[in-house]
Amino acid sequence: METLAVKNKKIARKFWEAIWEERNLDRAANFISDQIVYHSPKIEVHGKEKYIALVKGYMNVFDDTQISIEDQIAENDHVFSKILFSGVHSGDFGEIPPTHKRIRFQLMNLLQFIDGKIINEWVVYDELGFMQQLGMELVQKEHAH
Amino acid sequence: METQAEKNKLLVKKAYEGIWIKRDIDQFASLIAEDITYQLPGIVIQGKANYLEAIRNYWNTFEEAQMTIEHQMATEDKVYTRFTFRGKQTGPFRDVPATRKIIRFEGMDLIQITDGKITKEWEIFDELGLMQQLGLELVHKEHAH
Repeated sequence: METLAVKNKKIARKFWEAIWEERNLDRAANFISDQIVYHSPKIEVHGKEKYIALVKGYMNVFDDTQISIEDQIAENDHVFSKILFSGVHSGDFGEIPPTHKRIRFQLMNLLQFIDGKIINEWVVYDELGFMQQLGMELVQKEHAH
Repeated sequence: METQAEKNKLLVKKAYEGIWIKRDIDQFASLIAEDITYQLPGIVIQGKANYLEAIRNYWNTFEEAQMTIEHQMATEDKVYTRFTFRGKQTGPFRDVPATRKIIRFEGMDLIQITDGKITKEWEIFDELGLMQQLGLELVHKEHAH
């Protein structure tokens, strides 16, 4: 019999394929609980509607996206994944206009499931490396402008 | 009986404790393999001697450090950890001289263990968030001087 951990790993994979390969948000939405909470170092997003709006925002930034799951560990209701994200920067990202460059960055992700749906997501990603690929750089505050 | 996964979790806890609580390089060194590889986005550190030097540099950068394990899962040969790090920046970090600021950042870590020793470590932490706490900001390259 398939364990819960194995089932959840498969759902995680399907979920990301739906978003980043099929670009089918309706399909992805099936895997999200109404009470989902998304936690990144900078933001916390509560509820399915806001979560989907966030994902849609990222989808508008990138074309031709691929997710490669390099490693995965699951235990009961949690799935950890080490991921390489790749996409062409084809839409505005905040104040940064499209560079049409292929961007690659690493991320680590933890999903928690309840009844086959994602209830919590924690993400850390190489935000600095990502922003540098978009042409940004870090400077001391007093030296800027 | 303790499973291999549980043993691996304990080993990682002991490693963090060796680094951040006891600051005992010998205890820590006994847990890592000669050919260890430590990977952060954009950085690869190879071999025990280089790895230990990286740890000593972290010690020189942060005092009053606290490494909190928020969540952990393990398999036969891998341990994933989500953590929060707190410390006071009392030494240089990258190009930033000591600010004496208390900083806090989140990260995730994946460690591979072979024959009771750490052979590989992949880590992503909120480096951008840390640099912002140290007084840096992101600007467009053409705007910076």
